[in-house]
Amino acid sequence: MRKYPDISPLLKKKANRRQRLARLSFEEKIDIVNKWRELSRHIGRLRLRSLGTPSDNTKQAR
Amino acid sequence: MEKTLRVLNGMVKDGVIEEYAIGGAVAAIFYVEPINTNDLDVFFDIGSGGLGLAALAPLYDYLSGLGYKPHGETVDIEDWPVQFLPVFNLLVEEAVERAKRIKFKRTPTRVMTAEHLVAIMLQTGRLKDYARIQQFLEHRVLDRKRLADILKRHALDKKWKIFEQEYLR
Repeated sequence: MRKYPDISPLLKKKANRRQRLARLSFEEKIDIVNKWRELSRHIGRLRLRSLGTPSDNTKQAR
Repeated sequence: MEKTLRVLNGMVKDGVIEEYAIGGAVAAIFYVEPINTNDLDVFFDIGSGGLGLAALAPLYDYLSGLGYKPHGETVDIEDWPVQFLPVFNLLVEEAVERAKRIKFKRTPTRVMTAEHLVAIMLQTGRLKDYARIQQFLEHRVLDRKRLADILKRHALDKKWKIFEQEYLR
């Protein structure tokens, strides 16, 4: 029978990290959210750029 | 965010809205860990100013005059898309009335209490609301007595029991 690793220490660390994040000040938490928002915008811009160049894709396909 | 809050406070000062409270994901962030969100939900009381979405017109006019333009259902105010939601039932009205006064950096603002947020999430009842209620429970930020009182007064106690049975076992 296959043996699986015990990941409970990892899950515990994860839960502790969430608790730590929850204890941050409101301002610190909003800073984190702002960073995520900026990252999402950056990804969105990259996606648009890649969608906006179909001719380049055609060239690559050739 | 601070600049956005200053604009909201200006709206109260200038009599565009009576009072406001932050709800939704940003309010939840005040109590639990950060949540990825793109907009700021602002619940406000229009007093006896009018019914329906027409109540939003003076608010949009005011913001437009300050250079903040609407985009779909939100208005971009200092880099935050703000969704304005007039109080639409007794529970939300109470949540705005009894919101907690806090400061964001040096700017005063109001955030719905954890118990009111949970009651509203329960009432809304989407899966993401239930998941968020679980976060509030995990982080032990709720005054259970106060929550029970709100749930009872707004006839949500039965729905809470069902939620407990289905999601907390």
